[in-house]
Amino acid sequence: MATEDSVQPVAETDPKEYGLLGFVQGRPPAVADQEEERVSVYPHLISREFLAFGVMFMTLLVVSTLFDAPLEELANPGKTPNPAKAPWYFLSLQELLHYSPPFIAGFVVPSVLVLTVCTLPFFRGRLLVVPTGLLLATIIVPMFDGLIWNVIHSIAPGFADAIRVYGLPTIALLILTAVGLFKWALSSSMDDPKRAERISTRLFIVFVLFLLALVLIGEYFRGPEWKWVWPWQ
Amino acid sequence: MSTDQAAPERGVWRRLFQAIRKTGAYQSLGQAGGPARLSRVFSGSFCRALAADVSRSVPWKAVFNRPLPQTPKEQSEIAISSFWLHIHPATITRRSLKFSTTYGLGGLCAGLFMMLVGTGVLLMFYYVPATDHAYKDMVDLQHVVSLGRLLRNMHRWSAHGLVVFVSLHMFRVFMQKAFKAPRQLNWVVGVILLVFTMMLSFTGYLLPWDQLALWAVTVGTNMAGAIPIVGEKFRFVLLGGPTVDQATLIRFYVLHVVVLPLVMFIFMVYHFWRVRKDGFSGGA
Repeated sequence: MATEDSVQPVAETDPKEYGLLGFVQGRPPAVADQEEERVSVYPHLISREFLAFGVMFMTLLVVSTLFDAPLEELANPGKTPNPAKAPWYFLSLQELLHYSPPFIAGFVVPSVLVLTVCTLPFFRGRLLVVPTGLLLATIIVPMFDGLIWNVIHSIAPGFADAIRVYGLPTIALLILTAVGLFKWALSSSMDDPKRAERISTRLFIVFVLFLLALVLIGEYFRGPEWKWVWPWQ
Repeated sequence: MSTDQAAPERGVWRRLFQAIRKTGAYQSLGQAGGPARLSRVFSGSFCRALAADVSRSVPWKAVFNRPLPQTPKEQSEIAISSFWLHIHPATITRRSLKFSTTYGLGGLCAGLFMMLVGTGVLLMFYYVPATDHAYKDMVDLQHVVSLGRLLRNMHRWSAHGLVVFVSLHMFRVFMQKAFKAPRQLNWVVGVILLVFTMMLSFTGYLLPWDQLALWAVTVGTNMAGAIPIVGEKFRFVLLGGPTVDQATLIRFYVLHVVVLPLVMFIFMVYHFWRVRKDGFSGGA
């Protein structure tokens, strides 16, 4: 017979005293005596991990039996395939390269994306719409780079040619967007924290969908000279 | 059951045989009068009885020092005392255990990384990173090496899977706002891990040295050339020359099999450690 081991409850030794200061609206704060139910990692988590790893391994085994990894002909530096495509997770950038100069698609966009995603948790509450909105803008604005450039070109061709190299309109628009997002976040329309969070979540989802769409377009809808083709063509 | 520690020197097989006769859990297996039901073999009671007996045998004790934990106290102790399990805390909340809390995505990423290390090391036995050799090794893996095709397929699909699952994991964390204080830094570490996943995948892309590899890497590194001022120099250093060549292959190979996995592993360990030390974010 095994002896039953039970965890001894810790005695309440809180020396603080509390007085009523006032009433506020909202949920009561979580306190220590509402502690969540805990279970031991062994066997509860360990068994699930083994199961998950087993399922993953079997799935990989089946997929690897059914589908072969691609292997094309020997590398030939003299024979450029048309189109030459980057790995699928870089295709969103390559797709943007179709709309804007390499400085934007190859440098500005990835840098802004990575930096914005990194700083995202440091924007709290209503300010979360700033990074999420900027992420979306960083994908969308470069698509209109050509359009903006055409407009400027019709007014001042020499100036347009110069700024095209440096992608200045895109950068200017992105900075404007960031400032606008800050103003929007601090405006009274964001006073409701629930609403602000909902908006930032939606902005992030749309950003992810755009990224996904660019990858799918690059993978399945781009043919020679990066022209649009249907997958069945 | 767990107090029956008698006579481990009698040997595991003998103990097992005795247990089959003694323990009720085994009875349905070979009982006269009733057919042995296979379903009983997989039932909990049979597995528990078998595990308890095996874990009291001499070889088990030699390896693990102790029988399988039975009581709640033993169960929470093993997570701390076992080298392999001490990455986990002794206990976790029921909420973290629920599938819809994590969807197991982070754990699957770690699993895929282990798969990639395993299959990758096996592939290294065959693969030579030389432009006149690499492609032949690929063809050999496909047609000559036993299970070589399966090995390469598993490595390739695991790699794609890792990029997908790291992204999904990140999306899940965002949707639950689990990056909020005090977990901000761990989100940043996660972003670094995503970048490293892509770099690992990208450097591995070149190694087969086929047309797909050469031109995908040419396109990818051309983008690196767009970095202002240092872009062209950076690209030159990355490629070891003006074009993708032997110098590029050996650089990508070393990055792919040594440098990046090592750095990634260090960040992974830190990522896991922070998950435990930071505690829950206020976001959920």
